[in-house]
Amino acid sequence: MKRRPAGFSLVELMVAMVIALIVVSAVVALVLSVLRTNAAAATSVKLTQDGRAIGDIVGRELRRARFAGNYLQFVGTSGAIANAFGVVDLTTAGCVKFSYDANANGVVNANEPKSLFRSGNNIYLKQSATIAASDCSVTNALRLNSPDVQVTGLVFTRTNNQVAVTLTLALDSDTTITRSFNQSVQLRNPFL
Amino acid sequence: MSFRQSEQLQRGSSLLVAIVLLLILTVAVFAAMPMLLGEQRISGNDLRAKLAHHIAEAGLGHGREFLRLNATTLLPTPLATTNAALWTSCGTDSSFPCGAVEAAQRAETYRYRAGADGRTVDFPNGKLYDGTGLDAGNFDGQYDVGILLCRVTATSTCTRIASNAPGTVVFTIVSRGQVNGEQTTATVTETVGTYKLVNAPPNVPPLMAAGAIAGIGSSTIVANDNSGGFGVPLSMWTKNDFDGSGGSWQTCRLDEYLRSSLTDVKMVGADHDIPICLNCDCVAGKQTSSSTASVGEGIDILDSSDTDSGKAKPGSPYYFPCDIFRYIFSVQSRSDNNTDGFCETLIGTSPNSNVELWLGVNAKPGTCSTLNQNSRGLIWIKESCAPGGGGSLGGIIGSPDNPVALVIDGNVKFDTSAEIYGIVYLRYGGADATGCVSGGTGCPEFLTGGGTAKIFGAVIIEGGGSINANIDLVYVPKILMNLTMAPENFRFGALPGSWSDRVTY
Repeated sequence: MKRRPAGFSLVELMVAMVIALIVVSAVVALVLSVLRTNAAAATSVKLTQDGRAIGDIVGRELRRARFAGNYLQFVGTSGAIANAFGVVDLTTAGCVKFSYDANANGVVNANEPKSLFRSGNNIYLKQSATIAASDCSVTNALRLNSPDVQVTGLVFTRTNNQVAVTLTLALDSDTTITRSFNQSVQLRNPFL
Repeated sequence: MSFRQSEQLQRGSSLLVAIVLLLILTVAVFAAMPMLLGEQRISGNDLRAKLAHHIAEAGLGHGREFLRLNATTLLPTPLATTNAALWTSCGTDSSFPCGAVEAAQRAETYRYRAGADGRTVDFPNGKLYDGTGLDAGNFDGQYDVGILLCRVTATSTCTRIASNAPGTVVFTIVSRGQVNGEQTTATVTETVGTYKLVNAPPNVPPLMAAGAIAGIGSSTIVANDNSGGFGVPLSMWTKNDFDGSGGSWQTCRLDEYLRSSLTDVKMVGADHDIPICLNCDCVAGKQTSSSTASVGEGIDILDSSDTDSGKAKPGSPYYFPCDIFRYIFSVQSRSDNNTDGFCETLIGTSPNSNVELWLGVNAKPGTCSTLNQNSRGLIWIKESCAPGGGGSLGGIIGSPDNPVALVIDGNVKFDTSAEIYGIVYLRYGGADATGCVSGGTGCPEFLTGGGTAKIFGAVIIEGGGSINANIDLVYVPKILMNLTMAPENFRFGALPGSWSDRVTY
């Protein structure tokens, strides 16, 4: 006998649709959650990387401060010759001014005086022509952080020949996500 | 289309939707993976770079310690040709470690010949990794250290001409740190200079005291012949009075002393140029000062009273060093807060006063009973070397070639057998030393006794005491010079402004 075609009744259909809806919405929720996690991971990685890179630059630059290629001049002259590369100047809050002899010729050349500072939620590295001209203004300065990252704090504290650096970063898109980097840099070329 | 087919189609579409959704998930996860992996890689590189840098820094420290321990052989003799067995000229060689200095300086610089490659110092334990898993981070790190020598001229340049190199040298330590198997290296360089720890002035007299000295035995003091200027002898220098009324003491010049019994004079030391006599005396007729009334206190006794032919008026604030410790050791111990010319106030608070911190770092700790002929250099004894304290000083202490500088916190008493080469410094530890000029309680004292003890050098007292019995206090210039020139008296200090990570190997 030919079987009677068995169609879905309305009730069957609705039950099936409700079940399908539950399953699909669960999957969609999972997908969305994974995507959201990915996005959060990406941004926090960005934040961490920025902080690490900036911390590295600050630490390395500070360690080099006051290197003078003519260091032999300090021998046997009873300290009469001063280090031409000046001091590590922390007089302006959130800004450190220093210089070192990049080409080891014993003379302060252009771009050897440097300053690292925070201005308007950004951190800058600036190279100046002379130590006197070195300042903490953003003109001609190089921004170190990426546009996605805000530098919300930069504090230098000096104890003898140690400079403690505290760097605080926040995500530009969500300022509640922050990272703080602390390091203590031993000045390798201390004062006499 | 049959119904069966339509049923299959319906099943197929739900599978398709599921697959598409899963695909989206997979793509999202895969998109995130390289980013997270990259972060991991960056962290790893960062860690390795930091490791290499710190390993290189460790090499610098090891290099400096290597210099200190081998100062005897590594320090070139002033004005003598550089030892070719140890040092090779860099010339135009810019490879490790010569390239660490600029070309002009490099041409006049030597590098240390060592190790398998002839240019890397062979440290017995130059590796940070021993494979036991107990090392820091368990990283297989190692450092290579090269040393450059620059003999500095009067105009602060390097020279290879021995006659232009009076004695100042600097060493540049070049240290390359690496994490083995990781292609990570870091190079740091630092230049160290030498300084002398004890730099006793050449005009220190054999006996120097802040307080009063009494001569009550038949002691002998042989003057520093050039203490008061060329040919002006000085035996005793006190801020208070020397009272010679109680004994039969005498002083004379070194030559007169040695001539009293020439057959007993032995020329000792590595170069046989130090005259030592254990049986000599300041005989009558050759004395500069003596308890004999007709001789009296001569020009070689500088004290405060003018009643017994003393040389300074009582209370003169200017003729005696303010801070004796600083006068001998060049380290400030006390300050003068009442402008009387005598530094009475201890700088800092004991046991962390300025001078104690300096001694703690630089002097070898010692006790009175363990001193012997092998003792050498600066030794800090935190007790009285007298009965009741660490016991009196006896036997041979120090040697003419390697004399001692004993800093004793308290009194000293010598045994009859004592034979001491070098400086004996009695230090007062109290906060206010005002009383020590007038023999206050607790101030260090040169105690009576001593029999036939011989001291070849000087006794310096932040207090007073008695020079008595048959003690001979003989100033032999070469012994005090040896104290200053001994290699262990050299210390290495980094030149500020010389640390750099500019060069990479």
